Amino acid sequence: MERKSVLVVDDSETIRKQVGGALARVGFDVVEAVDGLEALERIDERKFSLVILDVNMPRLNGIELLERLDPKKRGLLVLMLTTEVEPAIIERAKKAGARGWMIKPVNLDQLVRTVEKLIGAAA
Amino acid sequence: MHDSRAALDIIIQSSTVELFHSWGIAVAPVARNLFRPEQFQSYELVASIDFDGRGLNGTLALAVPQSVFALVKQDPTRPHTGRDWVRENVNQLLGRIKGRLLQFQVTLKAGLPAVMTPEAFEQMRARGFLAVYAFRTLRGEVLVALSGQVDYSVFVYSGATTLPSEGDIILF
Repeated sequence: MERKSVLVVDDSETIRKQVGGALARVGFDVVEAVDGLEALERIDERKFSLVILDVNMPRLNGIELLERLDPKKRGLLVLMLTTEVEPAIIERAKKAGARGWMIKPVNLDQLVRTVEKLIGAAA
Repeated sequence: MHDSRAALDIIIQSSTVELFHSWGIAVAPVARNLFRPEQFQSYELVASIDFDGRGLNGTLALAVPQSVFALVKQDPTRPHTGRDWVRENVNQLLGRIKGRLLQFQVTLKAGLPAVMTPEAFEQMRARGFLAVYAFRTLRGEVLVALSGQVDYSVFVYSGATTLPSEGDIILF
């Protein structure tokens, strides 16, 4: 059976390794990107089941990437993972097509369950 | 003004305690009257982040000795480097502070976190901090420093809000 792939986009290696490690341990194929521009390249190269996306990043931030991607049109699930709690920004992400908002630090088991649930529901 | 200053102190102290708790590290704020800035130890891991908002702008710095980071590294599933870890944690610390300040009608815009050399931190200290908060751990002291400007008159407490908080997962 084909492994589902997840793209983890965060400028912090700490977060990429933590989140990516938790997903890889339950069988996901994990790809990392350090900012929005690199994420765009990865998304153009291959298909991902889900993207985990930070907001505050250099070059291209998560909200800008989301608005550029149009995830609904691409059939791409995007979960935001950030320290940001400002309602206006959360609303902007929702409008741009994000499927969820997770506030750092998140429980890794819960994160994995959420990813599995979203991918399972979309299958 | 005194109430607002006290509120900011509590926000920064509680945010720091909770941040370290999330890594399994117990930290206790050092009372201001027991804190001697001249007794600062040297810090191997320092990161800072700029912030800007109505009535509040400046830089938040987090300084952690390697001995405290060693507690994080005890868990083998945490393959972090100290520099990236402290950088991410100053970002998370400002995130917690930002979230709590929303209750006071203060909205902050955050810059990008950056690692500071110990020398750059010394220079920042020499220029003077607006406030310094020390925290005791079993392996040394952690420091949170604030430089910049605060207009306490803009703090208007609007009561408890239903804002999301750390660890929350909201599905749309």
